[in-house]
Amino acid sequence: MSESRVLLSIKNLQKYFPIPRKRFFQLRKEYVKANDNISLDIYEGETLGIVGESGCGKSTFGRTIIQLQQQTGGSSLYYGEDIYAFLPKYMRSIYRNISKKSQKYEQDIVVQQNLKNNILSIQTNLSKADDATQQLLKEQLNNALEEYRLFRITFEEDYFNTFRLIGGLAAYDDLNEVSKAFLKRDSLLRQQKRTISSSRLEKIEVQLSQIEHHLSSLRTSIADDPRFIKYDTFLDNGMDLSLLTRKESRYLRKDLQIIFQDPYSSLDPRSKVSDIIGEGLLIHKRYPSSKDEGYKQAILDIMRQCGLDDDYIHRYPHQFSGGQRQRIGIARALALRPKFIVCDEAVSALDVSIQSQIINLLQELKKEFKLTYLFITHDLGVVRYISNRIGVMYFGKLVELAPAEDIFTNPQHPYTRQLLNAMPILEDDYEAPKQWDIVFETDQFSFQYQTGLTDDHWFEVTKDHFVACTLHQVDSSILKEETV
Amino acid sequence: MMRKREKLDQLAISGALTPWQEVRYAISKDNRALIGLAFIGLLFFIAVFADVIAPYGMREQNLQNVLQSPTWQHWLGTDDLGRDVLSRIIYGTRTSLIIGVSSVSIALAIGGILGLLSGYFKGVIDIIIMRFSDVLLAIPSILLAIAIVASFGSGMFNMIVAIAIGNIAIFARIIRSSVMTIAERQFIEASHALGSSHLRILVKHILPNVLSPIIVQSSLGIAFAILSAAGLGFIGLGLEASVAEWGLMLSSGRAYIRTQTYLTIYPGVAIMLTILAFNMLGDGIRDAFDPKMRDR
Repeated sequence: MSESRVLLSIKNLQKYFPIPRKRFFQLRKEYVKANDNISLDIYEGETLGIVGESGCGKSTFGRTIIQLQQQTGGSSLYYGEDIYAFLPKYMRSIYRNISKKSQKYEQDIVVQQNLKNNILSIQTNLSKADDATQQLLKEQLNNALEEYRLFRITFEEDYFNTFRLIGGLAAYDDLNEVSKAFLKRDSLLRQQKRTISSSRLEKIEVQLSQIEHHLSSLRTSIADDPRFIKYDTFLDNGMDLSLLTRKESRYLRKDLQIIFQDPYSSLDPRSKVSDIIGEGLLIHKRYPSSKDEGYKQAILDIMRQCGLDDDYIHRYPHQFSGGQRQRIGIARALALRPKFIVCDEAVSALDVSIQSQIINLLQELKKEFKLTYLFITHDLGVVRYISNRIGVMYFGKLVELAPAEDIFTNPQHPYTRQLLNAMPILEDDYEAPKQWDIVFETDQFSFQYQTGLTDDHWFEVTKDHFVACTLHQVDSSILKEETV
Repeated sequence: MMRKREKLDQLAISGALTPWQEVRYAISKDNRALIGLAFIGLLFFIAVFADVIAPYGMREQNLQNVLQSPTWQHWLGTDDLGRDVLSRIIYGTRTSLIIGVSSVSIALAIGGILGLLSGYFKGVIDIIIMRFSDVLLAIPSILLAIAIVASFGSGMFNMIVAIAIGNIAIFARIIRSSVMTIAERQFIEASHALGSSHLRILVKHILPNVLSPIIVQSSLGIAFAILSAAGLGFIGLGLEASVAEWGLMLSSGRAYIRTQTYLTIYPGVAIMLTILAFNMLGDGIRDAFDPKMRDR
């Protein structure tokens, strides 16, 4: 899969729900950590299955990715839309704060170095220590690693978006000038987007080419600086969904859609099928009004593709069966021709024969519209059939991520194994599923998964097969690769 | 005419009607709602043409003919000042309808908006609106109305406002709680997922789904409004005594309830029939808006 284009790149995604204060004088706010520190890439055209037990944060993850619920930390980079055509508002504030950021950056680099040195010194002590002190030092090391990890998360959040936008120019001496140039270009691009008159457009284009020229001359002037080369690798046109305003992310819903689990409560009982499916088309102004001839045609087209008869168009949801209702839900999500669809337990509420119909429909539609799915389910059979890769979630964290077959043939994480062992065995199954041994510790790593708190390193077992664990040997490469 | 109806039937079966046409069609098939509608139509007709219909004037006294039981001259008898009860009921239609309908409309408009906002947005807005409505609810509505009329002076308009204010909190509460249950439903989230604005969700999804309690409460509210007007009139803060108003007639007839029962019965029946008509129409409208009920 890794050859194809990344559609969404999720880094340290975090969704905490605040718990209302129990006592009046409670100073610290407490949170339910529904999603914590989830990082993964979703490739264009793949189906990524997410499995896990009820309440582990699967559904929250799906909703948070498309920003139906705002994420509380981390970044979700979206590559389906050109950031310089979309021009989200957050770009401007980043450009404005370049020089302020750089001062804070210098300080944070020092802090980071101290943390690293601390880890390294504990490690050297550990190698020399006797058995008695070893336990203590190990604990210290774990604490130090955890501290470093948390530091890195906020560090990346603070600076990486700036690097992504300005790249190597972060190494330029006069950052005020860089900031000014970028702001100028930004405002010109915005004008260009708004303007219709061709004479004004020409003027803007001339100015734009001047500013582009200015920026590239700034770049060439420091092209040999090693810092420039280092920072420039960050240059990236992903749009951070977590920084979009409400209005902007509402606009992006045309690309990012969701199919819900419950076909009964997800359709407005007072709306006709035509209004349900066509709502998105009207919101995103694809058609001027519901009286438009093209509007009705578009609804009929998508209904046919989802296996709904034409004369259903004037009916109300209560006149349909569960399977048909789910088809309406799918048609609603597809009407906007999105790029990415979260299927939140989309077939779990249906009976088995209808399930397979809906799954086949989803597969056909995927081919036809070149869709990317995030398929959330607890049904391992379904997920094995439909997914290219599978992620296993446990207590709000991703614990294993691998190509679909690998999860079933070579599960690593004890929770994954438990999940597989729990698969029901039918008596006349021609091949009884294997029962896996639950292993908590191997030579390279151990799992602390019952506490669910410390498994924070990704270990690549085989190609593209990752598992969250606690590393025994802190490979100094962990520290080295994060030089920025 | 016949052809038009057949065509409408066909359209309704094929489902090609617009939502408003569907509602109208459903009401036209609902006898109960039609009776209610006809009676309300009659009331409005009486209210508008009271001067023409009434056999005697509203204030026309005949002191030689007081407290007369129904006769051919005075179909519904006369009151303690010799005024014709039938004429006063006919004139009273005007005042009572204006008071009932307009105070409920004002209360519904303000209370409805407050209830929608507080149930949908929750948080600080909800807290502010609900504490405000707690204050209003803590004072008995008749006491509140007395306070308002006493401070702003009596008269039709002030009385309508006073009754409306007493009802705002009730509407806000009822609508808020229905909005809260609807807002939790998944189709609201689905609409968010399509990119709807808050306004669109409120108008297109929440409002149609909270119509039932709104309609029920409104038809009840009209009855309460007419009775509160009577209550205000009774303590001398409502309309002046010579103005014909059902509630007022009811309370002034109370003194003669043992001997001249008809003085209370007839205005009472008028109030009851009006409320019944509003309830019947209200139920019909509620069912007409609900696609599930419509199919039956």
